[in-house]
Amino acid sequence: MTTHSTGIKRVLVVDDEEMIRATTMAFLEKIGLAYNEAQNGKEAMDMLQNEHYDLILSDVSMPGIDGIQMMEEIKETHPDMAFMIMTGYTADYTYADIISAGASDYITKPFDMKELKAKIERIAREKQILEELRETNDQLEIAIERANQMAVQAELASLAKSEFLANMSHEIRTPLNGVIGFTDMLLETKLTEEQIDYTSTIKRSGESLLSLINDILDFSKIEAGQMDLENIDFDPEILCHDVCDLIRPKIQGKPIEILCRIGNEVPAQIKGDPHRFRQVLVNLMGNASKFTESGEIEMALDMTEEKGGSLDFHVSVRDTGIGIPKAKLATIFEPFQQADGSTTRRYGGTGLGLTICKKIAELMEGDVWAESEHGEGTCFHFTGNVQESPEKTARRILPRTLKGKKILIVDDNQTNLGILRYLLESLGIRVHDLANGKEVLPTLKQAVTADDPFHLAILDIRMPDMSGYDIARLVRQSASPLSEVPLLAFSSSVVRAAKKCQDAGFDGFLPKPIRRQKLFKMIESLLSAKNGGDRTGAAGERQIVTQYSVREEMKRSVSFLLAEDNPVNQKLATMMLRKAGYQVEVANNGKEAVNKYTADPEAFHFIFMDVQMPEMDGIEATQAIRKAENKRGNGANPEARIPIIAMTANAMAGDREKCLEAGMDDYVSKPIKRELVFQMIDKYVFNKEVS
Amino acid sequence: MNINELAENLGLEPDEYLEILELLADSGKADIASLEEAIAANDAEGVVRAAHSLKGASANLGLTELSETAKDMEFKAREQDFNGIAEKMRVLKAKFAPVVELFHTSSP
Repeated sequence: MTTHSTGIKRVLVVDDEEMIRATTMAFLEKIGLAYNEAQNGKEAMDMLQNEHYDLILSDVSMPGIDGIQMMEEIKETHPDMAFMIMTGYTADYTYADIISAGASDYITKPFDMKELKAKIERIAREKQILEELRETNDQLEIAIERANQMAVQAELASLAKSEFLANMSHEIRTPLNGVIGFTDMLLETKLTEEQIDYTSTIKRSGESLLSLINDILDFSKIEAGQMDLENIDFDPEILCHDVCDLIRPKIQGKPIEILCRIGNEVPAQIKGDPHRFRQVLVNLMGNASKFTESGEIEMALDMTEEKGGSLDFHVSVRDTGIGIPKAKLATIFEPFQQADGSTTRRYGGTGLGLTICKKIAELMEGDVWAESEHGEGTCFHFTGNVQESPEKTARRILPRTLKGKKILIVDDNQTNLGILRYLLESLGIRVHDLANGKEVLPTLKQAVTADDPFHLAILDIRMPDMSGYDIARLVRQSASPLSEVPLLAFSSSVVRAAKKCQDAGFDGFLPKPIRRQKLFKMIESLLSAKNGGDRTGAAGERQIVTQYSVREEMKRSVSFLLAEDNPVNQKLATMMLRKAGYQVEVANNGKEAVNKYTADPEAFHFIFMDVQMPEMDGIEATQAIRKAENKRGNGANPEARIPIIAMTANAMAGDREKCLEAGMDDYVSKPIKRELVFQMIDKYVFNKEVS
Repeated sequence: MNINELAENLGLEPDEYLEILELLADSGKADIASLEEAIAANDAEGVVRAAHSLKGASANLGLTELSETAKDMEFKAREQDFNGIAEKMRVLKAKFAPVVELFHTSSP
């Protein structure tokens, strides 16, 4: 640091006694300082107007203003001026008075040269330090200003970085989704075993890359404080089951039961962020499936408190896996930490999953934590807060065709039996359960003898003394009518199980855990096939029903009535709908649509209705159809009437309201898109309760 | 007109797209005839109907400029506004011409 130290070079001596002035100046001369003299305060102040001094050596008691008063006045105009006060033996002021009035020091008369020199030097040092301090302070102020500027720049840079990350991840995800999507499509084509193997590897790699990118993006969002939660309605039950379905393929080959328990108090609809909720569950379940070799993984959802529209939830994910050492329980939530350094290599993952989960839970005003005994399995807990959904659509209509049916359920796992019994009984089904495969055949026989045969038997595949496959073979080998009872297999392993089940004689196959809707649709499908008679294929082979084929069957059977007059739009829509696998019937105007529908109301699931058409427009046609339905007595029930979807061009404001008023259920914009059609089917056909 | 690109945007094969485009060539001709008739008769409702039809069909096939011109005519006619309609008609026909030509030159 460079200090242009001024020190003390010029001194002004102020005293009314000439002798003292002379002596003092003589001392100063010897010390080597420049000096000047004033007889009183007034004169000193005048001199200061034109000349510069570094130090004033002043007497206290002088005629006119005294030394202290002079000092105080000079300090006003020369705040940096140093003072040394010369006092006599009988001073009017104390040392404290002098110093607190602003003097740097004082000296008692008479004084010798050495003392004066030492005191001046001390003041010079003090001045220099003060000056250095002031310079440092100035530099500090400049530095702070620069730091502020840099902080602003850094914030801009951080924003740019986040934006860059978001853009990048979008750019990466788009082609990656293409890769995954087309791999999916490729897997649906005819492939050899080897090709299936390669293609599946591409798909798995693509998916793990995608989840990596998602994790990194989420983590940077959290770091930037930019992760916001949505607040929309969702069904937590379907969500939990979906997550279990997603995890199922990951445990293939391992003897693990995946159980899903939804507390009875859990409402059908809650308000929150389903995407983030699901993300945490997928993560916890994914971890459990990675670190468990055998046993069970149970996900349980409960509502722990309800207060004024706010709901506290608690999810636990319990596994029977390798567990986590106590010392590691806290660190696993830190970024890039897993229970063991080698874990990443062995099990994969970014090491960000749990960090993200914890942050999400905190955003939901909850937490994620783990309990574990090493080697005894782990239980993760996820708590948080959601809102009660105002629309409590408790639409669990009892399906008539299943009510009163008699079903046998067989599983060695009591939890599963409990869940299954609960689900079936909620439909009014008579349930008989067995925990042992050996009793199945005698039970079925006895029911036939008692003239109250079972309509269906649901069998677990993996059971200790007799497997589901063995039971199915025995049933099929028995005498009629026992051999004809429909059999539904359910199992935790999904890979090629459907084919094995088919060979053993099963009619249907469902993976665990069982989802309410899938189970009901499956049972409905199996029982109606039984009634309709034939479920055997061309080669006399049993055709097995799977969860997917149920949906596929439903989709294939969806039939549209398309009311559209413009030949271009007509052709385009039919082409698209037929490509997507639906059946389409065309009406050229509203009148034709009404005639076609009323001639055979059962033939259609859906009407897509153009609004502007010659002869009879979409509004009139809809009114006519609703009128016809009312006559038949089912128009009043929105569940029973045919969904009519308006096709609107870039509609005028109010057009859509007019459509809904006329009795239409929904609207899509033209040109209609394939995914929108699927949304409508999902909404109005798949998600309709079984009846 | 880039048929391949237009077809791809709709998820169609080029020959499927051409099949539908030919329908537009026919129905569009009819729409334009109705338009001219309606304009001559000062029939705003007739203009709205014909322009609406052409607007929707051309939008479906990704012919944005044609669709926008038809939309403009439809909306103006809704307001009973016939100002500059002759000029719009000229533009509309010019945009539609390539569609018709496509099938003139390719058919024997």
